[in-house]
Amino acid sequence: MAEPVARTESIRKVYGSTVALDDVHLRVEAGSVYGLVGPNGAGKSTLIGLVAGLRRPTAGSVHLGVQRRRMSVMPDTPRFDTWLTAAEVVDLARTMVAPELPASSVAEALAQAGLADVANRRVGGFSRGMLQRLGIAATIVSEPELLMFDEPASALDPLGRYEVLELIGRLAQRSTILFSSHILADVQRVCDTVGVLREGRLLYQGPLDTLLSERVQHVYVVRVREPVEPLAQALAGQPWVRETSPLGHGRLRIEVTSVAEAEARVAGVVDSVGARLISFEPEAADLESVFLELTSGERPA
Amino acid sequence: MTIWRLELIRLFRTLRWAGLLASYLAFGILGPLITRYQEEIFRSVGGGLTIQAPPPTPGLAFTAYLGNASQIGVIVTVFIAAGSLAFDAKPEWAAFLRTRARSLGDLVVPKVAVMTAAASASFALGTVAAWVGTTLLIDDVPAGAMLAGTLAWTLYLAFAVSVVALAAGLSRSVVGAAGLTVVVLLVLPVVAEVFPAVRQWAPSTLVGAIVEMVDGRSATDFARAAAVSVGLSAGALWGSMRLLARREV
Repeated sequence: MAEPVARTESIRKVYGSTVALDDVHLRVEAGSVYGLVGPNGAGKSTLIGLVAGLRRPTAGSVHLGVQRRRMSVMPDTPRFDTWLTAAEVVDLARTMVAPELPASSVAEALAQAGLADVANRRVGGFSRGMLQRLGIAATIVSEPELLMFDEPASALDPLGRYEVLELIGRLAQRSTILFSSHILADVQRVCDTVGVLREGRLLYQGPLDTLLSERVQHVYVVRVREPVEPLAQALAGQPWVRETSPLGHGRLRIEVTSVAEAEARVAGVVDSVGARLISFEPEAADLESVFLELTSGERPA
Repeated sequence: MTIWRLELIRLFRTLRWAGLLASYLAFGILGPLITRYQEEIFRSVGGGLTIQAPPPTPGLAFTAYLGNASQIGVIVTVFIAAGSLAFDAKPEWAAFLRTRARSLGDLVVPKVAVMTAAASASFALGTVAAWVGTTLLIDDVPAGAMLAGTLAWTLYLAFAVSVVALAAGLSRSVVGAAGLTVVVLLVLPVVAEVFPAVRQWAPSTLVGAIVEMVDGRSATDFARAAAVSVGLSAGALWGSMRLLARREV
């Protein structure tokens, strides 16, 4: 197996009497978009800071599969000297890391981050969202192999968030990306790998699809032309149905004991009560429900 | 855009250069003027009292200039230098710089060099003003003493800015770094006074070099203090980088 771009071995970080991270084995594979999710105070920023070399572990170690200079990190609330222009900030990032890149890469990075129009404005007047975009531009200008974003879209409006996630999706074609977020929909939208942190422990790490499919419950949603009550009563009488609950607008949630029986028999039950079937599909597990399930339990041993 | 250019832009866009220049040039102009006309000044504000001032000499004119430059000028220099060198005061900006620099030396050395150069240039302009004023109003001043004294001050300013760098390794805040430096710079001359054997080695001795050379001392009398200043500056820079490397952001 190829060496990961970033991994930690039994990493532990303690601040005074607070254990920020405990026995964390992070593994970020090359080419992946790794989403680090967790409640506030879970240790996401600390973990990114450790990988970036801005903090030192109390125990354990950090291993990078790329040169440190080929890695770039953006903090959650970027701040710059206010008297610099946006172009100067990005150019400083380029010159410090990759002076061999042409000066035109500064304008390209600013354009990608949506700041082309304000390239020559001083950053002192920038909004928090603009500063976050500027942080992204300064992070991507040197074309790093590993990009780390700490809450990259937290200060952005919905459109800005959409654009940043689109950008991250495009960047994933040439870089490995590790980003933290408490907005689970963002992670689900762009990540292929996810790590779930709670109270400094990594509760899950692996492909997002696997996480979601492993936790798919035996739940279906059937939609018929109303009224839905006859169908609900008929289904409730089936031995393979555990519970039914109406969702409104002709939709009915069915929790079953057997996926095979449900898939074989639901259509027959619909037919038996004369209902007109519009759709029948498994209820998709989303990251939010899985996250709540994972993080609502007792602290893991 | 390099760190060198960043520091130059910091000086000029934030008007720090004006603060530096004003703090040295103003006293360079006022020193000879006040020395030359102090009797008249005392007479006009003295309410009939007769105050006898010593006759104006180049040494007194430069003592007046350097007295203010070594206090107000150096304090302004220290605070402006701390604003640049205490970059960890803003963790997000520190993260930007630290994750991109090849070494902490790439950050600290340009900041110290640009700040020392700016302060030295301001001091040199103040000295030229004092020199011209003294020559016109009081008496001739030997050019060699001026040049050697300015060089001595450059070494002292380099030492002061290097101490700021060291203090920035001890304190994250701008005020903390500046405060620590001011304490060190205040304590040094006191130590030199208490222990006369130390005086010829102390960097603070360089502050009065111009006056003493105007009064006839040789530049070589300050060689030991100059050498110690260079050594301590290098040591402070090394210590600064060690401390900054140990700090978490």
